Amino acid sequence: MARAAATLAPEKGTSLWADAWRRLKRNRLALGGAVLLGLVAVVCFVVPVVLGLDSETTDPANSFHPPDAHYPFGTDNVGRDYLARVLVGGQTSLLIGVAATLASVLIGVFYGSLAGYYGGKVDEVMMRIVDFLYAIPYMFLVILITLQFSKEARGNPLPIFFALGMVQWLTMARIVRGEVLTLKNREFVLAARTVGAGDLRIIFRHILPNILGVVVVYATLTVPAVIILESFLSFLGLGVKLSWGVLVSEGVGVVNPIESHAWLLLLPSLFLALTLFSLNFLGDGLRDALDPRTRR
Amino acid sequence: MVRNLLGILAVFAAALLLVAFTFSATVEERAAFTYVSGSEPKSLDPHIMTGQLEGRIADALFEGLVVRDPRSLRPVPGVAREMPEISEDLKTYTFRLRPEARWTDGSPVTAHDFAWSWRRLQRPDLGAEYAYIHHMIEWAEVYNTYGVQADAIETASEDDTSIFEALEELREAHPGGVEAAAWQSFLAEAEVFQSLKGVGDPVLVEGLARSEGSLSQSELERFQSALRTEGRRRRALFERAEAHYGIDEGMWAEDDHTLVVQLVAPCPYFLDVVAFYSSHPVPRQVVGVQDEEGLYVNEQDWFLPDKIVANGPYRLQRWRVNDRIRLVRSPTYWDAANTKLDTIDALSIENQTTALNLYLTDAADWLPGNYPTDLVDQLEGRPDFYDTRGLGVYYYRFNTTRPPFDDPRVRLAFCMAIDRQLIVDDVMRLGQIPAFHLVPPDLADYGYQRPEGRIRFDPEAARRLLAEAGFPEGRGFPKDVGILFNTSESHKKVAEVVADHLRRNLGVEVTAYNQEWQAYQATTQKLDYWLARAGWIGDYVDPNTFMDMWVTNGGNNQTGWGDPVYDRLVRSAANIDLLVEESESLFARLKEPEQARTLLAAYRDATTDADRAAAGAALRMHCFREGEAILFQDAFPIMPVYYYVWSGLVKPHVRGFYARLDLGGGTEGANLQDIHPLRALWVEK
Repeated sequence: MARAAATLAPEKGTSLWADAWRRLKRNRLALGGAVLLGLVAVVCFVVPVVLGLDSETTDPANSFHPPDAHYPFGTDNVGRDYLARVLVGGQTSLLIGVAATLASVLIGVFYGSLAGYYGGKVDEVMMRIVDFLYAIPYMFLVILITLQFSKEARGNPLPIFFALGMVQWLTMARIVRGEVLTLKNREFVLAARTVGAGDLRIIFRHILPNILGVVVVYATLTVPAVIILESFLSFLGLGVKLSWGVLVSEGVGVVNPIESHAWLLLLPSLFLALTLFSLNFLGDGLRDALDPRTRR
Repeated sequence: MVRNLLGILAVFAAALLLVAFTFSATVEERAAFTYVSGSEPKSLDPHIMTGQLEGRIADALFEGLVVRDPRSLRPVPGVAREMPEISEDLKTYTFRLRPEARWTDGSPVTAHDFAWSWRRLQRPDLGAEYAYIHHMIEWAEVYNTYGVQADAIETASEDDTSIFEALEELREAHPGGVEAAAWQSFLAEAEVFQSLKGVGDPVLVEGLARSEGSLSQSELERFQSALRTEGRRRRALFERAEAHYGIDEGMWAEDDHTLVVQLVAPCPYFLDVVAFYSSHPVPRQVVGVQDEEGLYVNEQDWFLPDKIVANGPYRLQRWRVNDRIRLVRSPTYWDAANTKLDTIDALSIENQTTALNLYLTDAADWLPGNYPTDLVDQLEGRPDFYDTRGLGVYYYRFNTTRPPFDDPRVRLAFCMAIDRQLIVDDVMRLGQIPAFHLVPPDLADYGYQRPEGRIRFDPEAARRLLAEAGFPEGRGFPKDVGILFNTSESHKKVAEVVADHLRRNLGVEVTAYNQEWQAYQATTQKLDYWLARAGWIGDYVDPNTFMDMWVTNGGNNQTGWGDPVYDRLVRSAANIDLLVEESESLFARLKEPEQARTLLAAYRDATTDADRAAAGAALRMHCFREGEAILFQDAFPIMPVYYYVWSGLVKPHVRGFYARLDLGGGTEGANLQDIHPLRALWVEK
């Protein structure tokens, strides 16, 4: 009855985070996901630097070189080292995933907590705007933003970061608003208000820490969604210069009835799949750990 | 339970059968000959179309006065009974039509049909892109462009001010005179160059060329009054052309079976133009139908299967969008006895892998080039693979209005930093020839000697040039420079290799990026790029088709580059007599003036028409040579990469297909334009 004991002796209690960490550690799948994800990230960001890999130097005479000792991942259609390309592409994919998620967290949390806290007319207007943006097909929105911000559309990843963040914050805002709505009438908020704390202080010092768990969980699940979305955009030719999505798209192009160079499709797909699996397992694990009620 | 399952299965099977039945109903019997056409044709109106794949179908549906012989691609009689009579000064062509030629509705094909059709090609409101291909005919250009230009110069409408008015406003806004830079941007914005194309008035010519100092009010006033005069002159000429072109001047029908054509100047490739699809006749009885307001009611859709009337060996049976065009043998064609294929299917398939699959599974007999380019090595050894040198050049445009590419040294440095041999050997892999010039080497066989150029592969010299231009080792070079290409696997490979060579040899960061064809065209027209990939396929076998696009503000120039000397050279080549008038002022600025003078003397002193024609032809070629020397000794508005090679797969049972031409007397030649007339094909199994 550790739980009961904890409530009886609050001064020795474990914090929510320590509790969550303990639960997460017990979840093998989530832990495995975290380790794998860390591994992929380290490989993508460290190996190219350590080995001095070059993802751009072409050598057309050496194109479609199958994987061997010298080229562990083979070469692509203009003879570029595919190992370097998969790893450097991974950097972009991971960065876009993290950066767009951060953008969505920043906007979504701020927007959602304001709407939820003030309620009434403010909430009404703010959430109708969100509904309105939801109603626009996200693909359309992303294409518009990408085209607008990249007059020279040359694979600069910034517009894509921005566009994906712009799309992803909507759900985050709704979730945060809901949470804030349930928390704002709780006693500790009332107490803070009684001692004269301002609205912003209440939101950011008292309410936000209490919904951080939900935000973290949702953010973890947003990262793979963004990576998939970016791959999809790149697949359609709207994305960045080099990412896993781009490589998969190019890989599909060389599958043909005469001679297939399967590694060009399989390797980036494998990395993409591993990363997505890890992130999803980790996200599920975090949700279970941070919010035990949602289990079962 | 089992019975339930069986029931579900039965329903499922029935549904499947229904679906299968629906689809099977639309599956057609295979045509006698099927080929992969490529994209969906944009139009089958021979005056509107601009693409090779549309032209292939138009050549089967319609027949011009002359057609290309499939073995040699030389013009031979088509609707014309025999080759035209050509006057001694080479300026008047008289075509006699065969009386037995018929439209598919049974009416005879007459000279009036041709006169009407050729006039339609120039009709200003039709806006045919290829109208210029007839501009060697007297009055054609005047009828096509002068009316529009006169309107732009002096007629203001509700939503557009005229150039004249805009100039008035400019003068009022700048009472103290206009800076040359502001003046040039005014000229570009008001599209003055286009409206004064080919202008001769010295006041206007000088005004257009002003790029230094400033223009005073009195200068502006003089320009404005000269502009008004020029506008009125063009209006008057247009009205004359409108009343007479195709009726009794320029070209006209002498009687039902005689068409007379008068050229501005001798034109050695005129008969190639007559064989080109833009010169095909269109059915006056359908296209010419007007409503009470004078609008052509069938203009947009007369070529659809239920309306079309044509005069060629095939008629259009069905056009299913994104699937196929079905052609069937036309029984009304005068030479129907020699049309060997009963049906032809042109498949609209863009995906190269799908196209190759269809060919390999015998669903198509001919695959003209649209196979996945990565498979060249595997396909090249097949007995049904063919390749032949092409009349086309693959190049990159520089945007010469955008720094740092406004500096010719930067442009030359770029040109010298890419290894073309490696690109053709290892990327293209079909024996393409590296290009250091514009005009393909094959034109040497047609009397064209290319000048020396400065482009070669020399990274050392390229680095030195870039350093001279202020970017030693690429330092300080803008970081956002991009290489634009229209979406395609093969363009992408070349662009990536070029970007890599520039990075390695010059130390500049350039990024290859792509746009879909429509967006790409808009971007290059707006000069919103740094480097942009392009290709130019000759419309006829003559240097002019490569040279005339680079005149100042030419529609296909799209680099912002222009040089008055170059413009005069190209103009003179089209009409040698212009050169006789203005020779000395031009010769002083040539690279090889002595040679030009000798040739001009020979032209002037010629005693017979034959000598004169020969000297004129040589002088004409020299004009092109001087023009190309400007491009590749001084200016470098483009970076040539390689000369095309056509390739494809054709089943051995297809006959009448000539990848190599038989030029007679045992000489062979390349099928430079990749033309394989459908009417000449047959199948032998």
